Amino acid sequence: MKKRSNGKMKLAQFEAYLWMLPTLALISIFVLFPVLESVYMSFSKVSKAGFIKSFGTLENYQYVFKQPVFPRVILNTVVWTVVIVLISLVISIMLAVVLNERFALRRFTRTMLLFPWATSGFITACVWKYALDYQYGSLNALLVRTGIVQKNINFLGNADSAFAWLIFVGVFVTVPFMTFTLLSGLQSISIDYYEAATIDGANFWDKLFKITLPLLRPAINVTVVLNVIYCFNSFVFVHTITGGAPAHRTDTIMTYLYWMAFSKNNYGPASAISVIGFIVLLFFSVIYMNIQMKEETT
Amino acid sequence: MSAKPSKPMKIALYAISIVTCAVILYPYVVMFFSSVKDINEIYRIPGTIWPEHWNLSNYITVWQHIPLLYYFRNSAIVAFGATAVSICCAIPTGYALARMNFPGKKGFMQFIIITQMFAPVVLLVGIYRVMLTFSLTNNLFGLILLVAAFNQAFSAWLLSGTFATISHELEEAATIDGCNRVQAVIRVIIPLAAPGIATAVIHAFIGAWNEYTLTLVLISDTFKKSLNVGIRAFFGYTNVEWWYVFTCSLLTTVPILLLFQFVDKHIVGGLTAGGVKG
Repeated sequence: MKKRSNGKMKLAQFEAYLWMLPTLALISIFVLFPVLESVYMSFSKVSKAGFIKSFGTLENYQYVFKQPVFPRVILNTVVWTVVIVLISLVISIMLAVVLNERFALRRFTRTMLLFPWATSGFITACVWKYALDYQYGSLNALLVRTGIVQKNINFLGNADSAFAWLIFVGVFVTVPFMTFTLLSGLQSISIDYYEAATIDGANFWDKLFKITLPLLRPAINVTVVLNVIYCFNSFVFVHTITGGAPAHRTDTIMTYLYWMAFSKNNYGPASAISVIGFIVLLFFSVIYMNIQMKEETT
Repeated sequence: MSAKPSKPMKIALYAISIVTCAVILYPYVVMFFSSVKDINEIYRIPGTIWPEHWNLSNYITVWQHIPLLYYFRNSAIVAFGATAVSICCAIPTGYALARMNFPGKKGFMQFIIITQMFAPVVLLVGIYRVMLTFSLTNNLFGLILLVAAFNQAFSAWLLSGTFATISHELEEAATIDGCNRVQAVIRVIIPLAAPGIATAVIHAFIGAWNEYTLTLVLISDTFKKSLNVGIRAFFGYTNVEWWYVFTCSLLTTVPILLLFQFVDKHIVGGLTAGGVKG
């Protein structure tokens, strides 16, 4: 932009905010305001009907940390986020490398990968809830009818196996997005590197570990941080498939927060959980922002 | 990568692709087969894989059990409304971010990135209270604004990236021809940025069409629910009417998947823009 006189510069500064006014209004009212409201409520006494009685108490936080299930919920959230992102990353790198090659099924597979991403999370959750059902589930039908197992397996019967299947569903919905971000990273790697490596006699694995993965590093960083945030925020799969059962042992912070607020009408402690969630998200947002801003400047 | 994959490499490529497609297709096949089974077949142990009777009448009778037409209408209102609001707000913001320098620009961009990280779920209690305060619960218009607000970060960021790639000269030429800035944006920038805008539109639309959590919490009036939340009517206390759950699921999903076949290119562009560039 050209340098202008001082008076005009001031007008131009004002103008930018005018252009952004609709966005600013939307975000302030519907994102910022709820954040402030949650923080305020988390430090207030709130009645079951949702009236704020008095401000300035740590009771809500004490209540949350005193819940016997809370450590389990935190642990679940960490396991849920870390395990889904790690497994998805390995699968996605593999799929991205595969889809970067030319072969007949490439286009079809790419199109298929868009399906889970375009389907509503709730519907995906419904299908897997049905597929994994102990008595009537389609996965049991498939396994029994093909003779792989003798009688139905209770996939969601205990907390550990239920949680493992929830993680499977999490991976199912995470892989498509990750694969596409990594694929675009791969496509920006110059083919010259591979040609030079081929002349030097490098095999497939040499190229993967010495060229592809190091050069893919920036794309991997971004997608890992983004997906950590998405998984942490994920709600509908756990909520629909197990609803936290048995006894909150498959709950994550988000589903526990929902239960606390809308099943128990305990708005105070629920806001305290919200605030704990923000702090974690803010931490990851700062990491993501640093990566982003670095990319912008380079 | 290399020009010609070797033979074992080719086998691996096909094997991985086939397994991936099978796993992805499985739930959709289950959805379709289960949607045409009747109550006796769904509740048989062990279940059937292939439907014994193709009970296509489920697709007709389902309309008598829930107000499906309303749900289609409401989902469409929210999806079109939120997309329109979101894009109309994000275009000027994206333009300002791409073309103007202003004090606090870096801070504003960081703020936008942070808001992108907050999914509605973590703010649910706060959102619910704010919507109550404005009497916007049970209100599709309120839902439209809310969904658009949560989409702002993505759309504005994506559009600012698109606008930044358009040459300044064309805009200056328009200014010389007597356009003011707003006219220049409408006549020059928007037509040139059409592919980027299309990507933003598709993402906003799909996100809004598939919205679930906010609708679940904010809409309690039966006739104002969306397709996704309306399906919950088939989840009873003791059993689930799976055949209807899946007829509705398919009716909800198929339009979007059909749309996909036409706009494939734009979607992938947006996915990668969202992941790698913000």
